[in-house]
Order: sequence, then structure tokens, then C-alpha cells
Amino acid sequence: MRLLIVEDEPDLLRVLSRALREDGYAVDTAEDGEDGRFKALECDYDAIVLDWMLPVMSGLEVLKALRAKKQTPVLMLTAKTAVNHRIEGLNHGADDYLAKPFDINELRARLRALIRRSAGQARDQIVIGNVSVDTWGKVVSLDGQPMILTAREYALVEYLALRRGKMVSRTELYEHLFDENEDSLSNLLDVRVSLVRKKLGMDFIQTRRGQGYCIP
Amino acid sequence: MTNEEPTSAPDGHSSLRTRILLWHGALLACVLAAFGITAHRLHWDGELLRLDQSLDEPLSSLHRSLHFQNAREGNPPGPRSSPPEEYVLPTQVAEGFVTRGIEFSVWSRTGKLLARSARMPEPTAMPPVKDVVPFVIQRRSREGMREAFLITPPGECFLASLSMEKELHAASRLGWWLLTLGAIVLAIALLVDAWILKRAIRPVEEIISAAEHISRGKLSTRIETKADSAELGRLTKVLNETFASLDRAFTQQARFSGDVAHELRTPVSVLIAEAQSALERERDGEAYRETISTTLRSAKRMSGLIESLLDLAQIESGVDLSRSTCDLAGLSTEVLESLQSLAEARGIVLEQKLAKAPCEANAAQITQIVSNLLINAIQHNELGGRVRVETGHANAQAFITIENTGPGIPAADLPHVFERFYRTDTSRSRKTGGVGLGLAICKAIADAHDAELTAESMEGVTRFTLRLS
Repeated sequence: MRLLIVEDEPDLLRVLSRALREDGYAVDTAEDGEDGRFKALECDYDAIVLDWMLPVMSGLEVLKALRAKKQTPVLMLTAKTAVNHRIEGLNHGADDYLAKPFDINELRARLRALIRRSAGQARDQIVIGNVSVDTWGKVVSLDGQPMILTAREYALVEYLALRRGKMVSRTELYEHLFDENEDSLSNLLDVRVSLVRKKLGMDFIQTRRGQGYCIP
Repeated sequence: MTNEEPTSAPDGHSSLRTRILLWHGALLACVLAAFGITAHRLHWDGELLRLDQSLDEPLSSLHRSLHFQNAREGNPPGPRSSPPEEYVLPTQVAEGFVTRGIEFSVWSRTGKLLARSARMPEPTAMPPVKDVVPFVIQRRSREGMREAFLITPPGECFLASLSMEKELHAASRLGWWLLTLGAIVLAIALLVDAWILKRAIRPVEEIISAAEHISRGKLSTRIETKADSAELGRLTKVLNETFASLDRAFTQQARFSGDVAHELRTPVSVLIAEAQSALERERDGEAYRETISTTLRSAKRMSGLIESLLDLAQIESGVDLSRSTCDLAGLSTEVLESLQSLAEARGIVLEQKLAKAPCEANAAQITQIVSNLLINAIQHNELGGRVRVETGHANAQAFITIENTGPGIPAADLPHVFERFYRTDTSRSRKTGGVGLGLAICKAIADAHDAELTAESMEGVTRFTLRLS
């Protein structure tokens, strides 16, 4: 899952991206509205965390520009807490609204819910044969036994599981599982797929040469 | 102003208007009653006098007739003469009595009725004559008749009477007329009274209505009245001023707490997120150091914010403003020295042209203005730019001008730069570490000194000027 965080407070930006990277998200960051808008339009993020009051271009303007082209889920994270601000934000296309100060676990839960809904999954638990993926606890179990996966391995499983039965291209996987600082020409993805197969079974992820990967 | 016209206040006290109206009404009713009763009485006394006068002559002709009758019969009047057995009124006199409507009765000294007119009403007992002086006419009103009688020394009694029917009727008509007139006058007077009182009281009711609105929390309410009287006009003005300062104080308080809540949200968010994330798992020493230094930065920012807001609240409350003679040039020199290293670090040249600028002011606060403005001038400058400070005295005012090169302030933002937390950038430029209150504090200090603080920005030069009288 790849996220964009647009936040002008450097400390908050740093701590948020660190926490979300530890959850296995690929995280891009932007410190002002203009940069945020550019990245949001350039890349297909799974979700965007957007501050309201930003230099150069306000979060609301970023949202308007984004909604003209894309349906990327957006969570507004702002110090503007008045009801009319929440309504304004939601009316301009925000999918969720969280007021500062916030609980980081609540932010995580809301992001998960946003991503799940946009992928068309209503529940936290995805069962694929003898494998079950718990997107809330970020745990994958094989025959009821929890398996130890790294955050990045889990992210791969979750991304494919949410799109079960669909062919997901390498490009898409690179876009959603790696952030802007990682080299997409490397074979990191192949390595990750083979590690997951070792843990969950060789047939768990299928490869279609020239097309991509798929969980059947 | 509500449409209801309350005649009594909600707590059960009758309203001032009702009370004044009742008192006025009662007083006027008394005066009118006294006037009416007096007028009626005078009229009635006049009527009685006229009746009495018209009875005097018949009474004396009655007496004269007996006198002549006795003389004719050779019976001189007197206590010793024998009483007359009968009495005959001469026809001529009797006819005169009939035409004038006069009735009469005559009694002998033994109390026997000697004669009486045909229409003299019963009973015909002799009037009480005890202690009555002879030949002095006595008068009384009895059964709708006015009577006059006199006694001779031997004891004969003559009585003449006239019907008062016409007079009584007239008096009663007069009475009713006076009563009606009095009622009409009272009603008109009360209506006029009520109208005048309503006009006089209206401002009071408007004041009450405004005060009620304010007590319900609508602090922006003002009394909108053109009070006619000087007293109410002054009261209205004083109350409106009081309401306005109440409103200001309340708004300021609300804004203060709103500002605190809003501005603390971001640093508190950083603190919480950083701490929560740090505690989630074991980390190495470097990560913990970073967490602690982030939280320290946030805490310092919150503390700076609180300090600034308290400063602002204290300056705006106007306490602790002791003034002394100070020199803007001297103050500026000190501030410039303390900021020299900050300027050098950014490669900025500090220029100065300091002429004596004496003024009456609070030196510490003016120093704060100069310092805030200079730090802004250095921080919002371009690399290798310049800052120019000029002090002097012109038009009976001491002034200080602080100019800097740099990107400048957009014209649209210029009128707002002194507002709290106003940012030319929609977001505070957080890397400079400012909390967005520096210029608001400067403005508050200037206002407390009745000084003028202005900002201009054009062609790459931003200029702040403070003028103190």
C-alpha cells in the first residue's frame, strides 16, 4: 500500500511517515500544497493524508484539484475542528476527517478502513483457502497458525488479497508497495514474492509471465 | 423591541407606567370631584337663596293679613288679646299666591290649624317653635318643598312654601352633567397621560429588551433608541458603551481560548504521535534521542505560544504600563547589538541612522516592538540582503523605521499582518520557529501607548514605522 502524507509541520510529517512505514506502507511525503497536488495527481496512491492549512496551496484546493481527476481516498488531518469545517472538507471530496490532536492508532484504523472500502472489501478478514489475512491485526495465518511476515511481505499479501482474482501488474505493485525513494528497477519485488511463497505455499501467488501476479 | 407591552413585570411588581398612571388618575379624579361638588353646591345654594327670597314677601303678607283682620275686628294683636278663631286670606292675596305657586298654612297660638292653601301637602302639623325667636324667619326643606315660617310673640305661626321640584330636577341634571364632563376629562387626561408615559418609558423598555438579549448571550446587541430626554439619552450611551466593552472583553477571551486550543493542536499532535510511535516497539538509542528531541521542540513551541498569548493578554488588559522618558535611538542600539550575530549568520547587513528620539513610553515594551520587528526583518530577508533602522523626531513625534529587503508582503495581506496568527502563506512558515504572534504583540503594545504602527511593502522593500507622541 502506498500513501502520500501532505503536512507542513516537519516533525509531524516525520513521525507519521515513520509510523506508517513501520506498518508496511510505502510512504511519500509533501511539505506544501503544490508539491502535494503534483504527487497526488502523478501517482496512484492507495490513500492520501492531507493537512488543511498548507503553504502555497491549501489542502482544500489540493482536494479540489485531485477530485477533478481521481478518486484516491483522502483523509483530512487538520487542526480545523469546527463542525462547519468538517462538513466543508467532506463536501469537497474528503473521504474521512480526523482532527488534531489525534491518536495514531485511530489514524491507522481509519486509513485501513479507507483502503479496504476503496478496494471493495467491507470486512477486516480475508480468507483465501487455508490462508486468512487479518487487515486489522496485520496478521496472516496458515491453517489457523499465525505466520511471521515482515511488514513489506505483509503489504504484498494484503495488496494482492484485496484484489483477489485480479491480475496485478509489476508496475502497479511497484507503484503501491515502494515509495518514491526506492529503485523500481531492482528485483526487490521478485525476492519478496518468493519469500511469501516459501511461507504460505508455492501456489498462493501465481505468476503470469508478462502480465504480473495474482492470488487466485 | 417586542410588540408586547407588559403592564406588569414578570416578578409580579406592577410596572412603573401603571403605577404613575393610577396615581395620576386618582389625583385627577379627586380634583375633579372637589370641583364638581363645589360647583353643584354653589348652584344649589343660589337656587335656595332665590326660593327663600321669593318666600319672604308672601310670609309678611300672611302676617299682615292677620294683623289687618284683628284690627278690623277690634282685636289688637298681642299676647293678651284673645286668639282669632278663624283666618281668611284676602282674595287678592290668595290669587297672587296661586299664580306664583305659593302654598301656605296658618296656626293659632294654641297650635290649631286656622287656614291652609288647597294644595298644601299633609301633614299639616305646626313646625317646631320651641326656642324660636319671634319675627325671625325660619327656613327648612321638607318633602320636595322649601318652607319659610315665622312666629308672632303670642304664638301664631305662619308658613309659606314653594315646590322645589323644578330646582331639584335642574340640580340633578347639573349633577349628571358635571359627572359626565368629569369622566370625559378624566378619560382624556388618562389617555394623554398614558401616551406621554409610553413615549417617556419606551427607551427604558428598549433598554430592558437589549439587556435581556445580552443576558441571553447575544453580546452584540445594542440599544437602538433616540431617547428624547437628556437623562435617558445619557443612560443609553453609557449602557451601550458598557455593552460594547463587555462584548470586546468577551470576544477577546473567547478568541484567546480559541487561539490557544487551535494553535496547540499541531504541537500536541506531534507529541502524542511521536510518543505513541516510539512506545510501540523497542528502538535503538538514536531513535529514542530523536523522539525526545522532537518532543522537546514541540513542548518548547507550546511554551513559547503560551508565553506569547499571555503577553498579549496582559498588554491588551492594559495593566503594568509604567512610562518613563526613553530614547528610541538608545533602545535600538541595544537591540541591534544583540541581533548582530543572527544577522551575520544570514549574511545580512544592518544599517543604522539613529538620531535622538525621546518619548514617554514603557521602555521594556518598546524594546520588544523593536526586537520583534528587527527579527522579522532579518528572518524574512533574502540572503545577503540588508536591514535599515532609522530613528528621529518629526511633527512632535518620535519615530523608528525598520526597513528590509526581501520577498515583501503581498498588498492583499498588508492590512492583516497585525492580526494574530495571520500568515501571508496560509500556513505559518514553521521552519522559522515563529508562532504568528510577534506583530500582534507589537500592535497591542503600540495601541496601549496610543502609538501608530504601520506596515508598507513595495518594490522589494518592507517598511515598518512606529510613531510615538
